[in-house]
Amino acid sequence: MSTEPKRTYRRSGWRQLKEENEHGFESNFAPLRVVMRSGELVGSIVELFVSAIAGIGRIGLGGSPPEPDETPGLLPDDTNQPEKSS
Amino acid sequence: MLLSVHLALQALGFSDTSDAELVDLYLASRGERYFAELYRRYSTRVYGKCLTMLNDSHEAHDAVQEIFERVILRIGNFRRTASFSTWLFAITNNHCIDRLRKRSRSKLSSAPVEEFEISSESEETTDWLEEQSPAAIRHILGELSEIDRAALVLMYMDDLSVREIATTLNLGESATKMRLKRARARALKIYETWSGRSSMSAA
Repeated sequence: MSTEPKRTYRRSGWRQLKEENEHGFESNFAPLRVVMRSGELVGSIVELFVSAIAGIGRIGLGGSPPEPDETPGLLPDDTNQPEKSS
Repeated sequence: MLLSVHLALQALGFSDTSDAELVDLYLASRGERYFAELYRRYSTRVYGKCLTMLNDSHEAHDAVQEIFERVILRIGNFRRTASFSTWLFAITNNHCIDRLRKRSRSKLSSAPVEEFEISSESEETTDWLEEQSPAAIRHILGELSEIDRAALVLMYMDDLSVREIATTLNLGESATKMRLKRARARALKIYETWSGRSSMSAA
């Protein structure tokens, strides 16, 4: 048997006080709009920074140039085939 | 999928949209209207909670802003293990308790915890606090120390268990039980003085 309904009934003064305290609230969403936009701005800057780092990595700036592939026989065409002696 | 839901909701409004769906839509699009709807649903209740805990309407208004700012910054961490409202009110409780701790550091240090002797009578009269009028509760909460007030609000208004109160107050369970016991004993003293004064002024 649950005691919850009894407890709720007994605590009606607390519940009433809770409802009374909710009156008088002045809603003000505008400052939160600023927080949301600044959050978006920070997110965009981070995204831009990450993209820039990825881009630098891709074009090889600031690092050593990619090593030439010297392994023979990996190309699909016949350019690496040894010349015939005849 | 989300885009089609988004477009449908724009036409229909949010009456049938759950809190979790609004969170998903906000995270996917960062559309202000989704967060604004969550704010519309809960800001009044968050304010009521803050006012009860902090006992100061200006501070409660500031706290509501700070709590929703915190929600904006942490909404990506919201896990579906609990409802959005449970998560929001946990943040509300923690924020109010942080504020109370900051506010009460100097006050508490000058008021020793063993200020009142706990009699066996206070054990027997545990439930008297459940049956009080809003006016009596308001007076008692206004006179209690910050942390005692928080403990009683969590117990009687939020119906939290001792374990949940302990987690919220960052105390052990036995320390929380002791805190509640002392808070009730103090509340009883405050109530007796207040009701004596009230009956004298009525006579």
